[in-house]
Amino acid sequence: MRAPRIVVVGAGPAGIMAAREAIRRGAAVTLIDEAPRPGGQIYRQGDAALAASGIGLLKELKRKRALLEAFAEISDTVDYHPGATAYAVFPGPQLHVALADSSQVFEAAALILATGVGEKAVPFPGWTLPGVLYAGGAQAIMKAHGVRAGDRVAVVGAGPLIIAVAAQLAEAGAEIACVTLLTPLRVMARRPLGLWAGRDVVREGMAYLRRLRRAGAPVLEGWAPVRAEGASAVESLTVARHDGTGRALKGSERRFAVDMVAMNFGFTANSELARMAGAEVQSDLARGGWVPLRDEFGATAAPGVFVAGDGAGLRGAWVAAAEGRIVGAAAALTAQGKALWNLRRELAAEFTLRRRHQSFQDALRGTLELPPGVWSWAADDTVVCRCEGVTQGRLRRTVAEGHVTADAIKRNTRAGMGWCGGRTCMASVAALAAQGETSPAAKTPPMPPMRPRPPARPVTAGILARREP
Amino acid sequence: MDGAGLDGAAERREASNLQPLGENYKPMSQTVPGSNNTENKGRRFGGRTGEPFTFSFEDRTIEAWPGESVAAALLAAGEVVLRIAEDGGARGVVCGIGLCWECRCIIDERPNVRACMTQAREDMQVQRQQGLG
Repeated sequence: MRAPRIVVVGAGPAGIMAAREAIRRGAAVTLIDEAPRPGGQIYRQGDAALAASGIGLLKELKRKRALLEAFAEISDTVDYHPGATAYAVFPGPQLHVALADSSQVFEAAALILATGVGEKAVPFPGWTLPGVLYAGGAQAIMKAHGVRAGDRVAVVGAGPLIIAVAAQLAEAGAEIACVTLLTPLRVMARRPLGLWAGRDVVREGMAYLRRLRRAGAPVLEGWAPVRAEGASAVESLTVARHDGTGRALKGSERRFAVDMVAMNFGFTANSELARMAGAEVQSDLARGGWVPLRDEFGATAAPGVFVAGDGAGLRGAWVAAAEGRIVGAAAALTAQGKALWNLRRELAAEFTLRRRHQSFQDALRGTLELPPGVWSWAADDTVVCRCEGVTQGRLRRTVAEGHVTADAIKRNTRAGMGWCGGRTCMASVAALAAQGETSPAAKTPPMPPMRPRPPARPVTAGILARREP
Repeated sequence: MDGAGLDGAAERREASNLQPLGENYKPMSQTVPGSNNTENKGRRFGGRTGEPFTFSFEDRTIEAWPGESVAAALLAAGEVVLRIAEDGGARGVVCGIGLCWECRCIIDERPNVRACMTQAREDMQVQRQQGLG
């Protein structure tokens, strides 16, 4: 019998481990990835011409090496497509992929979506100025290219990535003007068991904080960005203490001269392919917006469609790698008509790690929850949908006119219909929609997200027309 | 539907004040005045192999090293304004990983090319994209 074909989207920790596990269990695997090299966002690799930059901690580099060894193990057998973009899923499951200059349709016995997360944006006045980047983006440019995007930097947002990126920027030679966190990291201490479960990650975080202290960087906890200013690029950032709901406290403002702002307010699961495939979703705002519902083996409600790793809700690279093995094995066995009941025993360590980290992620959650006031940071003239130039004022008026679902706002303003496919503004639009909805009954179940439409990424007509057989 | 979408289109057209950057625009220098970062060796760090090469950005010659993206080389040179949006605002690199499309510019006469996803090559011609390009 011919080995069933498993198609994996994403070559990060979840995708690579899923691909290896599926191959080990007798499946043929196609691995589709947007990046030119495997590793995903967390273990991003630079070109061979750029030597290891040395930023990041030894432990992280060790984990990266382990993942790349797993990839090396399958590199001869896996049908690997780097630089390829999955832009649509249809029943089958059938995956449509844009290659460099053509497109190809992959029929899969099972599809594993390991698409990870993107950074969540919270607009504030001046956030569109050049020099204001996502913190993870600034980190990617450091990791992949050995370049820091600024010399005097403010790192603002929520959650632990802020600390890591600020420390890495300091390591790369930038001066850290200030670091602000919406919620103090000590809220994690309310869940001591969770902290204990995640003690390795906590230790890494402490090392980053020590690095910042050595650099003399002020770490302001309970503070928020107020406005970025500059003529044609960012020249200063004003921050302020906030009242606990996200609103700036008058009189507490501090202004810092900077040439770069790195921001991160948590993550949004890249769930559009799963949603397009027909997976059911649930709202989990702290962990990634609308995340696909799955069973313990990663199977969604859509036949043959599995989701692994952060794309099912943020839980970090360790869980993603463990879960990749579980889901890869489950998909391979399911595709071969075999039962899954031995998996829980065979992959007991992976199941345990996933459970253990769950309590750590619950502790982290407190640092990532965004109070409602953050969605009022944008002024009426602040551009919220950067692709279509839709301002906060226009969105507010549209909501006031009675368009109170994300889809209705999208149809009326074009917010979310531009190049990025709504990835950047969807959380803002949904938050404004929720504020416009006054009936408490209408809030449960939570506002549905914008409907994902193919193509999930911009694809040229020429690429669509040149279809590989 | 109340035609608000059409109003939106009109608003966008009004906002499309596509002015090139003024004469007084200067790329940021590699060292910020007043910075106490005394051992500034530029924005590059870590080892590099091979030889640096150059490409053009607008009227300027930009140095790049093998393996760097166009966005990384431009940021290293202090060039942060990569695009003038349809709404007239200056834009630069935001996500760094190809998701947001904010860094799209004109590379070798082709518009809408993401600087963060394009490897820098010798003698490449990169231009700021104005609006749709």
